[in-house]
Amino acid sequence: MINIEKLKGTFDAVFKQINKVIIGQREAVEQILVAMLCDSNALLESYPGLGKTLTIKTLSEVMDMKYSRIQHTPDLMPSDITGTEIIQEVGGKRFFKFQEGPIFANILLADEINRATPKTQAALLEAMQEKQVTIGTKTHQLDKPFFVLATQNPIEQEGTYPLPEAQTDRFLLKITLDYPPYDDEVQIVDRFTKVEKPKEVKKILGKTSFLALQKLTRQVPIADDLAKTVVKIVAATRTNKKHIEYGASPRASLGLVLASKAHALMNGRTHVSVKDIEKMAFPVLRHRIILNFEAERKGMTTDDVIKDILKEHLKA
Amino acid sequence: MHNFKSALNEIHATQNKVLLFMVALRTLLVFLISYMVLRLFNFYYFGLAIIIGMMYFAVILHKEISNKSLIEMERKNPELAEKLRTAADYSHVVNYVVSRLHVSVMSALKNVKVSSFLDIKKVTYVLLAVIVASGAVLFVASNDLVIYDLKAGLSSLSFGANKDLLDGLIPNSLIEADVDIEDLNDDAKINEMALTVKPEDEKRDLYLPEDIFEQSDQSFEELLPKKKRIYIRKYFGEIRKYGYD
Repeated sequence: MINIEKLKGTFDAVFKQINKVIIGQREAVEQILVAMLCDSNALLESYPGLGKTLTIKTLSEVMDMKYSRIQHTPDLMPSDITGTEIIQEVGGKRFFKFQEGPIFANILLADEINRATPKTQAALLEAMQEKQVTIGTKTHQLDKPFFVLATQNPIEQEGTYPLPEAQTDRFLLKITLDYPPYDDEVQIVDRFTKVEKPKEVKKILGKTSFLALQKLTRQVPIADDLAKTVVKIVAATRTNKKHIEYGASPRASLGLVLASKAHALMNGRTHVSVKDIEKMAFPVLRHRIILNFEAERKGMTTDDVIKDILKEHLKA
Repeated sequence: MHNFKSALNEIHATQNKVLLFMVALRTLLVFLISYMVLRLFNFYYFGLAIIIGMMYFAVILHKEISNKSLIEMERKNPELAEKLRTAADYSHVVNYVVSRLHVSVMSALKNVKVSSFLDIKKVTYVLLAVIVASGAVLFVASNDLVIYDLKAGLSSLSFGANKDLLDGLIPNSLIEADVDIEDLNDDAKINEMALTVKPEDEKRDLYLPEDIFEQSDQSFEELLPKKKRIYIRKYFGEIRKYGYD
């Protein structure tokens, strides 16, 4: 039986193993794990060269899960993602055999999703939602757990197909990665420029354990008044006409409650705290709010607006 | 879960007892203040004060019970922060995580003191206020202090309101005396006269006891009820005015 209070130690061990390869980025890894525990997906926005691929690859090694990467380009087809049926000949007989695409993995890195055409994006997003792929008349279930980390580059937007808001809403979290601080960058240079065998990471959690943790996440209780506070926070994004053009949908309320539960579980707690809601509000809400001209004129970001809303509604 | 539910019921029962005690204490204070104020104005002080107290008790008790929550208890016991009310909201749910939460809360509840249910500061202030109010009431009652006799004032006002109705039928003097015709003495002659008398005409066959012409005896007056004394004075005042011999 899993000891809830000791789970913090388990996740600390995961971070420790990842830290052998990746320096810093603790918050980003934490949020990726939250999205995984909620059996959902995450959108990662970062500049190139911040170690996104290495992070997710290391995470899959620590969790003993199958990892796959798709580099989106404008000529990428849906079948390049989902797979296709190919003709095979055995003993003079020909038949169709389904060739699985890279989507058939536990952790999928969909790099620069905004470079693919809307049709290809839709194929991936459909698979994310349904956790299955339909080719012709056959439906192929994706392995569990299934997690997609889609990335976007905030610069070089020319020739891209930005995800519409209706599609970005399907991602539980939007994680932002910033440049590392000076000391971390010195360590990165030190680690990766020396001729050294890369450190091996230990496997901490397996697939079966992780599936059990996903079930436990939904069991974490949240006090009624806190759940109502979450709804008030999300509703406030719809009523705040001072800085917000369009607010978050009820899907954001579900997402924030689930993410708070996952965050509580990762910290070895058996209940959701105000701190969990405060922490998770930013990644859950920042891609679901569209700022108006007034906010943009003031140079405000969605995080600034979310901070004001939290100050009003949360009493720690 | 059953153990947690029993513990939760016990918490609610203790909260209710504390709540009842606090509301009763505040009601006592309200009663004492109302009694004192009503006594200063000599206006049905005991009865009204009890009514005010009872109304206050009912309203405040209902309000306090509606607003009752476990947040106050969590505030005084940091180890229960956010846990207790979450566990209470999920008292009917059975799953692994919730069971662990219930166990954790139960072990923390063992360290909770009964005094954490009470706001000691508030109780002290209310008790002090009750003592001061009791002293004030004793002072007012023992010295029979009255700022204004509201009862008497209202009584005189209310008889004056019927004046027009009885005009012509009963002499003004009798109306202003604030007595019922039936309460006068049982002498039928006087009653008859009171209903038919018109000062501008008719000779009156008036029966007057002989001792009315005597000097008023202070001790005799004091034996009569206040109502009758007022009536008698007014009656003979009127007689003097209209010049009856």
